[in-house]
Amino acid sequence: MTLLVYALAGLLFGSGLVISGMLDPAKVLNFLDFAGSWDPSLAFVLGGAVIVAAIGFRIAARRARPVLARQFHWPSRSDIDARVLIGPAIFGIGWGLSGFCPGPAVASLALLAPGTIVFVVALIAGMALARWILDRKPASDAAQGEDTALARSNALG
Amino acid sequence: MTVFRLGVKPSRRARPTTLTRTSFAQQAGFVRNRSRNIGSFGTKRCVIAAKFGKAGLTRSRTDGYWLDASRETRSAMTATTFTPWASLLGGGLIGLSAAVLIVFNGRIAGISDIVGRLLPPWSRDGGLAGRALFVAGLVAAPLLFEAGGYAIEQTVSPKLGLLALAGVLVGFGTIIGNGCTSGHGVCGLARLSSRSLVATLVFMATAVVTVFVTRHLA
Repeated sequence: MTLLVYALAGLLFGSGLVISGMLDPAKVLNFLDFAGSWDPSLAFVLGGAVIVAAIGFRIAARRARPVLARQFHWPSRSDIDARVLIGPAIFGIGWGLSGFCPGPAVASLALLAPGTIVFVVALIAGMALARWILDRKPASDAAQGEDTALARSNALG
Repeated sequence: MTVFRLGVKPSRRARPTTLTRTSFAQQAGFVRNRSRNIGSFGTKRCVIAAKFGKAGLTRSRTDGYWLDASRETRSAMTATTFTPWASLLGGGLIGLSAAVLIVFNGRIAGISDIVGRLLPPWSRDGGLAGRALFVAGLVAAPLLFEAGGYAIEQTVSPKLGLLALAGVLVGFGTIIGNGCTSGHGVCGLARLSSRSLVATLVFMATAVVTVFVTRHLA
C-alpha cells in the first residue's frame, strides 16, 4: 500500500511539473533572468506547491504516525552550517547553467532529449561523488546520535 | 496574450517559426515513431527559438521530433510565456504530492534525496522499492500526458559538455546541501525550516548570478 502511494506521489509530482511548465529549462532560466526575458511562472509554481504542502505538513504534524507507515521521517537538522551554504551555492551554479534541477531533469528522461540524458548521467555521477566524499570523513561530521554524515545528508531532498 | 508577456522585451523575443522537419533526431539517426498528430497541428505547434547563443533544440511533444533551431540565432535566449494559472495549478499538484507522501508514508518528497538514495550503498530503511516507484511515476507522468495528446514543450541546450558540467554541480551540490528545489524549496519552506530558507535563498542567488553572467556578461 505504501508502494502504491509512492507511485501515485511520483505521478502527481511529474504531472505538476508538466502542467506548471517546469519541464522546460528555458522557462526556469527565464525566471532566473531578471535582466532579460523574465518569466515569473516559477514563483507561482513554488507558491502553489508550498501552500498545498504546508497544509499536508500541518496535518502530518498533528498525527502520531503516518496513515500507512510506522513513523515519520522528519529531516533531522535545523542548524545552519557550512554544508547548507556550500551545497546550495554549487547546486545554484549548475541550475543556472542548465535550467535543470533534479526533479524536472529526471522527469524529462523519457522525452529523450540528448541534453537531458547527459545531464542526468552527470547528476548521478555528482551525487555519487558527494556521497563518497561524505562517507570518507564521517568523523568530522557525525558527532551526534544515531546517524552518520551520510544518513543525515539524506535527511532531505 | 500580451498581458502574459509582461517583462519580455520585444527585441529579445524570438519569433515562432515553422521549420521543415530536418530534425536533430533525424540527423542523429534515432527518429522515433511518435508522429501521431502531424497534420492537425503538427509543426504549427513547434515554437522554435534560438537559445544558448548558437543553437537550441526545441521540440513539441505533439509530433515528438527534436527540431534543430541552430539557424535561429537572432536571440541568445528563448522567450517563454508567463503562465500564472497553469503554474499555480501545477505547483499545487507538486505540493499535493509532498502532502500525500508525508501524511501517508511519513516521507519527505525531496527528489535529490530520493534519486541519490537509489545509488548504493543503500540504507536499510525499507524505502528503496518505494523510491524506485516514485521515480517511475515521475518519469511516467510526461509520457501519460503526451499519450493524451498534451504537447510538452522543452528547449534543452545542445551543449552537452555544459550540461554534463551542470549535472555534476547539481548532483554534488544537492547531496552536500541536503536538498534541492523540492526538498528545501517546497518541503522545507512549507515546514518553515530556517535551514531550508537559507538553502533556497543561496541556490536562487547563485543561479540568478550564473544566468546573469552567462547571458549578459559572457
